[in-house]
Amino acid sequence: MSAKKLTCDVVIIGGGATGVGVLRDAAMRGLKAILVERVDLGQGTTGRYHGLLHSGGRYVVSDPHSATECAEENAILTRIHPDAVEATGGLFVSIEGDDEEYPDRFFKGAEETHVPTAEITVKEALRREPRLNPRTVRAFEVQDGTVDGWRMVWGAVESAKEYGAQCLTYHRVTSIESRDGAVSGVVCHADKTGEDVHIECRAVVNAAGPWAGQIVEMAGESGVEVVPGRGIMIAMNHRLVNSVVNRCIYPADGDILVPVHTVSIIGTTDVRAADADHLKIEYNEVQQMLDAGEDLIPGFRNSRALHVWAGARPLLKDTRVAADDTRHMSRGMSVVRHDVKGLITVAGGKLTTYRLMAARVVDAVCEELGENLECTTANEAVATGHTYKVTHRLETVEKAKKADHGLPDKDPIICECEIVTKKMITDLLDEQPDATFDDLRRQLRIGMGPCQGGFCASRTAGIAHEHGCWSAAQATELLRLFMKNRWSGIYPILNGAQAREAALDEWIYHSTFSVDDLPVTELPRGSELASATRFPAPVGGAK
Amino acid sequence: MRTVVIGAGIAGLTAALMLKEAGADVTVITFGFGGLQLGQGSIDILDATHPLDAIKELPEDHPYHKISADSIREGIAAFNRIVPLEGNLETSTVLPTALGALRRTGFFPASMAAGRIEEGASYVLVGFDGLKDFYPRLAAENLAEQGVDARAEVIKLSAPGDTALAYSRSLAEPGAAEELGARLAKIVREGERIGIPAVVREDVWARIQTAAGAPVFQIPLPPPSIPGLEMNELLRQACVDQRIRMHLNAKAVGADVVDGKVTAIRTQVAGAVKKIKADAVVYAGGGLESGALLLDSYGKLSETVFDLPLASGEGASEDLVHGDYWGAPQPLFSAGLRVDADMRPVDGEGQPVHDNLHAAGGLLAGAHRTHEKSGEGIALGSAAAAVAAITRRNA
Repeated sequence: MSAKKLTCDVVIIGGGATGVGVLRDAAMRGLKAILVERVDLGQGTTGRYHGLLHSGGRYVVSDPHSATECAEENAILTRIHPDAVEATGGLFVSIEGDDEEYPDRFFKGAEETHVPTAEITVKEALRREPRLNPRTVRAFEVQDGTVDGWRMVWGAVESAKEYGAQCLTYHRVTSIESRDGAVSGVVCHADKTGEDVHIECRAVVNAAGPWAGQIVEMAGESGVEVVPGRGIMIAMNHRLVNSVVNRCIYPADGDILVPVHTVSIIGTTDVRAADADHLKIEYNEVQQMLDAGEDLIPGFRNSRALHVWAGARPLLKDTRVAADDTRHMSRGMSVVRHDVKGLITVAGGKLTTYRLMAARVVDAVCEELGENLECTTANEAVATGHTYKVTHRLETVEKAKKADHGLPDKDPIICECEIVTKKMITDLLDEQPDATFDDLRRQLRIGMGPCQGGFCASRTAGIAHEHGCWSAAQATELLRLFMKNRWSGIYPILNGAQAREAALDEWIYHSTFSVDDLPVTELPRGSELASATRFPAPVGGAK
Repeated sequence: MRTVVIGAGIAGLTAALMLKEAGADVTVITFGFGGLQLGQGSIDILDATHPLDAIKELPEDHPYHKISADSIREGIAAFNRIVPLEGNLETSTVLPTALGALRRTGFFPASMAAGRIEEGASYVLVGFDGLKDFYPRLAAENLAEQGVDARAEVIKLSAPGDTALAYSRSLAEPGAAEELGARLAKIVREGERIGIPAVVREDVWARIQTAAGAPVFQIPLPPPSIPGLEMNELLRQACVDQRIRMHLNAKAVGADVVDGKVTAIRTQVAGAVKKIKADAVVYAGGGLESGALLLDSYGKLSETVFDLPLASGEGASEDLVHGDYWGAPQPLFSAGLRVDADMRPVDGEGQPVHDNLHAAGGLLAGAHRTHEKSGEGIALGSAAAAVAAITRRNA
């Protein structure tokens, strides 16, 4: 089969926050840009973080430069991504026994780095956050927020498309071509269709995050190593806090509790990982997170832990430049040029500064291409038409149900936890007929609530089959894969009410439905890969 | 003799009725609703063609080895006196699941009988378009892939709601069953059996079948199970009719023990703790899903009322669960109490913890109920064995 041919100025590899930021930035500057992603948008680190939009407070002492960048970008993202950012506000709290000197250093650092901060009384902090540890001794308010990484990424891609950019998901890069010492093209394999795509280009941005090292190798370059830094996060049922609660200590593990959507997320750890596709969740790290949560919010251990996951930060080691060479490296984020002209690798950074990082990358791209084009991404909001609201779905569905009160239900709620209706599923399937279960989960939040798929997974399989998207055999395999993947994030934190839920789900799937007894066939193309990174190796010692 | 039964699931309610029949004074304490509505609405014995023979092959620590075939028979007979069932203990029956898997069970309500998978039979599965828990095309295609002659139809049938419960109420309205039956009669082809989602009670099912003029069978749905709810209702009504005291919303929180015997059960009702005197106790609090067992955030599993020693699961949770969802059964779900032949929980040395405390049902350790399809058989058999022991010891 001959490859499909495309042409553009710049190919961006990686559909995380960084990649889509570069796509949008390049497109807005008038460059013809194509993004390729081996699985789905926000499938990697962007979809596996704690949801924090940094105020900068965390870095005022440890990394003042990043603190200022965060504070500036926080304001910009809140403006340009109104549907993805919830301006919750945040607190830094010092608890009895914490370093007593740190709060003063924190406050001074915040002033110096222009991170808006004010000290509030402990009484006021407890009024705002009634569950907060009563042994709190000092509290500072900051402008932390939360951001839905997926919505942010989709918004940026939609905006980029309006400027003529193209986005190819489920396109895995198989080779990077060069001619006369400069990149000339990228070859991809589309895993869902089996098609090969050849993209001719003048520049390539490697924004593959923790997988960036593999792309560097593929391009035949050396000297740049990307090491995945693994962090685990646990989602607790309910918003245990109204705003982001940070421990006012020198940044450490498990010192942030973030309210996102209907849950709160505690994070995180930082351990070097060997392989970003196989991130372990260690039992002792789970215990460490729960202990840290208990310090911030007494009784934390008794609330319901829903799901645990691991993400990988891309930590870059450039062995070619000295550590003090800042021409190629900015603090926290790294934009690296290679020997082959036109190839740029980007790593490090934070979701909060994704736009800034993208601007620097595209500056470098312009330099390589000899273009002089201005970044305009901060000037224009992605068009969504609405502002973030936790209860947006509830409101929409309630209005519809109220209008039809007492009449037969026209649009059943399929996932009660996350309020996903049948029409939301069929609309998405009309748009993406080859969507896998995991695609539906990311885009609609199916199976992400307390029942973790127990009630909605079989319904979703039935709907996708009825809609003609999956055969029965595919539905069975996708259902099995979905439940298996959900379980990978349940079993390491299983306790209390969630253990009861798991026992009930076990009853439904293994007994009432007897899914074990259905015929076994092969998975649809692309679906295993879609969740390749959702398999943490078994917890140490598990049988 | 004053007896107390903790738990109002299949094991608890059946034990209560059997104790009453044996002449005891019976009080049932229940915090929740019992587990019958959580299951598939049939009585599983074991996932084998001949369950009684297969029981012999089970691992040594399986609870069935403590329960005689006679106890299983007695338990089923007692249940059957209140809840009419078809099926037998010698040979399992294969019924289709809502996803089209072939599932073995022992006994089942008449409304499921025509679903029996048999050579030469053909099936039409009929779904209702507003019901969110049944997708007949998926089930029929899966059945067809396993060599079963099955096809599917979806009819427009509205209820004020999208759940089995909403359809159950709607079809119980006067004339609704007949109307559905008449529509099914137009769909069914010569010789076919009609499968519908399990949303109606037995009497409504019979009216639908009569109007359809062809065999109609119900296919179990995820919870709440309508057949399970009907079983629960029948058992509860029988308890009321038998003047069994029912303490609802009462959480058993502990016991008074004198000389190795439980003398009273403490229950928490609306903020106050009450004592209920007992000469013998049947503890049928259910498994992990029911709350009688608790796994805490440190990974420690415990029994919540008497703090009884557990057969497995003293270790951290990493020994109780593993990461392969479709692999070997999770040890956590078979954790529980080890018992003697009188169904009394025993300690590490095999000695009864309390002389007059007996356990039944989901609390018993050693069975992978969901995988081996053995939940109800163990529940009824252990209830009967516990009652027999109490009756014998107090004779």
